[in-house]
Amino acid sequence: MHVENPTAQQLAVGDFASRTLEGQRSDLVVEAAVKRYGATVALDGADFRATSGEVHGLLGENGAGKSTLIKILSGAVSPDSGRIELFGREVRFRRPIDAQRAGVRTVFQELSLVPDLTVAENLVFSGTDASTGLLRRPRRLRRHAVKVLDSLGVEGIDPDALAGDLSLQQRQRLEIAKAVTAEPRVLILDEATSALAATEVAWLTQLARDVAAQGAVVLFISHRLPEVRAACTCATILRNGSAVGTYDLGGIGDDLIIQQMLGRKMERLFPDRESQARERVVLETRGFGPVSTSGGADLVLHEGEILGIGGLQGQGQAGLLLALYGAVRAKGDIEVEGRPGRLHSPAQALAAGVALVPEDRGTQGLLLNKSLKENIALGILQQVSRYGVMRRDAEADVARRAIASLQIRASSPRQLAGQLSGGNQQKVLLAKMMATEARVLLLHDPTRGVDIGTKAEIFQTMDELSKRGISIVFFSSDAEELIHVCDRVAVMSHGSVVETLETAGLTEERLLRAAVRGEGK
Amino acid sequence: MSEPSSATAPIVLGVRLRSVLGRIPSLGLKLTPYLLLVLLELVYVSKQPDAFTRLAIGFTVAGGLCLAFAAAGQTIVIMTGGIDLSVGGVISLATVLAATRYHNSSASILAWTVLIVLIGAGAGALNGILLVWLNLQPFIVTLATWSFWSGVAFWILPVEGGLIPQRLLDWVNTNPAGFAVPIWILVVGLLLWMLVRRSALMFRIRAIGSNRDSAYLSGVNVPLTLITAYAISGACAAAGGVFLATQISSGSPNIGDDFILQAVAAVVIGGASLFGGNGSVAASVAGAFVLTLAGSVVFALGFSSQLEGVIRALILAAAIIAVSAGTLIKRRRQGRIA
Repeated sequence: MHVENPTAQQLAVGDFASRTLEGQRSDLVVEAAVKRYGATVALDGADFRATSGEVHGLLGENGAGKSTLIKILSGAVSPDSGRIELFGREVRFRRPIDAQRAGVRTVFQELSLVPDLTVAENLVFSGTDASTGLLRRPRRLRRHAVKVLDSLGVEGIDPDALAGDLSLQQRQRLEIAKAVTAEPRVLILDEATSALAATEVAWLTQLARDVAAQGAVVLFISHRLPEVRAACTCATILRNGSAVGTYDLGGIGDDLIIQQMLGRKMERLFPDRESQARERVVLETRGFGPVSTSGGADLVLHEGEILGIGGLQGQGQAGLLLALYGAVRAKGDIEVEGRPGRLHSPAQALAAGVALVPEDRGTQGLLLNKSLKENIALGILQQVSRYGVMRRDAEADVARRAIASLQIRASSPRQLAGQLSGGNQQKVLLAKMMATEARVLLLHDPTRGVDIGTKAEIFQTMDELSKRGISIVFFSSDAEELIHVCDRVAVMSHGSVVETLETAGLTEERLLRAAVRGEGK
Repeated sequence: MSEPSSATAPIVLGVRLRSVLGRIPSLGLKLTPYLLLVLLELVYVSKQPDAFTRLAIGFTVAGGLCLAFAAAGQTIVIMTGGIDLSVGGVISLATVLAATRYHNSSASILAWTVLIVLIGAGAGALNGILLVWLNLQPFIVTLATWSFWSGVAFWILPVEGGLIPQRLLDWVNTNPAGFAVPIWILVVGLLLWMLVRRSALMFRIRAIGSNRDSAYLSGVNVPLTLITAYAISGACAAAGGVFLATQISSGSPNIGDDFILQAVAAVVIGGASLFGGNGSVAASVAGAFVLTLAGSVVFALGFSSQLEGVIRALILAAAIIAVSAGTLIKRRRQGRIA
């Protein structure tokens, strides 16, 4: 992400190429949409117009109302007031199937595939298509799936595999294929790139343009500005539940976009990092990793150090973090605070001062149907209970402190975790693990699907933690993040660390070279 | 947060009022099973005015207490996202043990009661151990152990019979401080629930039911917690079985079977989700008495005994619709999908 852009900085706020609505053909119109959840106003009279034939970006911080707007367009929630017009006709979606019948397809942030159905079955599983209802002939189904996946350029997915057995990236691509194959008139891609590798993002960008070229309205939601620039011709910026404006992306710089999203000037994305690493080693591994995988990682983590984990996608980084946390069976040697011996469960890891912020906040990290307070308390039951009885005051105290220190946007500690926006959920998860007072924090891509303001806050928090002597293992799929946030980066390939690089003077190119070279070995 | 100034005080008050009012639907949802119970009792009393005496209430409580025990234990298991069918076998076994092992002395009665409850806890823990170690579905494990404990009960006492010591029967029929013993057992049981309701154990149990992976990654000892939950269910069923034996003055090797699905129904009327994550023992106990009273009400309204099953089913359906309507409203308010 390039926050500094000299040409953009020269532009004054009044100069942007803001689009006028008159004279513009609009195939999708949202007018004065309002949605309240209890006391929280998610959408506060948002107006929004998009034209078919172009890919239209939707930008905004977490909690700006993007997700709610998308849910309204997909029929997942009904607006309290406001109207929607699609290709000149007013529509009213009460259920998702209404939206689907009107030709709206959404690739949701939370993937919606059925894990117990195969890839081929998932591709045809839909509420609107009655012809696939009764008899599913496996061979025909398989042929159909192969054809669909081929025509859309989706590679490396076995049509007979269960959707639940696919990797996150594969599931994401399948989800996209499923939406596109329905030939939608409106295609909504909600953070569809957050789980994808760089080459796959390029694939999606081209696909989105193709779909638009065939006469559909395509909405593209991403927190990564370069992706939005690559895919979209124009973008609407949302802030605090209403649309700030729609802009031609050719005429507006990154700084101004970010300023419009935040409603203020952002200082900077990355903190001024000075290594806090001390002599003392808190964690050391040799040939370490999950028993089920090849290779084994040699790591040395110092007190107060931020150690990045890099490499190409799927080189055993995820398994390494789970193994370090005792959540999967491990092989190799590990010493925590100079004490040898593996951790056999997350409970043991937490007792030893090692905490993990897991990959998927919805299915691994949080109890979405429990309150924020309860989520934070779950990791520290010893602290918030006495003689086995929960202390409400202690529980509420911890939650209030977390909300304040990480600036979590929630109406109260009693709000359900599932009602928070993605970025705020991530903050709750971070707060939960910080509350355990762990000395070693393992972070699995904590900025995935998180807006730029929240990202900056997360990096700031990491910097502050390291100043307090806490050591962090930070796995990120974003090379730029690794370089700017970490002190050293361990590059992984096939489960082993192939090279450990100091970040001072490190370039993305150098990092990529290390990752690719490891691949060749 | 800073103290509100006088100018913003009305706004703050308004917001507070809204948040208090906003909780009424969920409060109403929590109260539904109790309101249903009161409603049924009112119908019952309107037809049978003498039903609202301490004596009659004592009878009603005695009639539903075994189910209440089974439902209480079932609630704990359902909160984990599981189900316990073995309570049928454990209740039968408890009545059979009570009818064959008790001697007519306080020491014997006390010792065997403790032992039977411990056997129940052990049977429950076995369920937990099996499903944790073999990674099996709770339904299958507890179906098997239900059959096993029923078999043991048959082996001990092939036909209904045995003897409950007169000393115990007399004690159950006393009225300490003016209330029948079953009422006291119920009150003590509910007080016990109030104590453990806010315990870290119950928190872990709900967390497992809500999202097992997340609970595990948060450092919850999932196997131990599950074993404990099933042990509690087994202990509750055994305690219910002992009480049931005093009501029928004998032991019966298959009397527990009727309680299995009734206990699950009671938990549902109590508002718990069968997918786990939430539940209240007190509400499930209310659900158990809703089911018990439904039988009495059918009788009091003068329906023929052939129709009893149909009418009870209608009352059950109405109760579950009332509870799920509340849940639906709550979900809508929370803006959840579907």
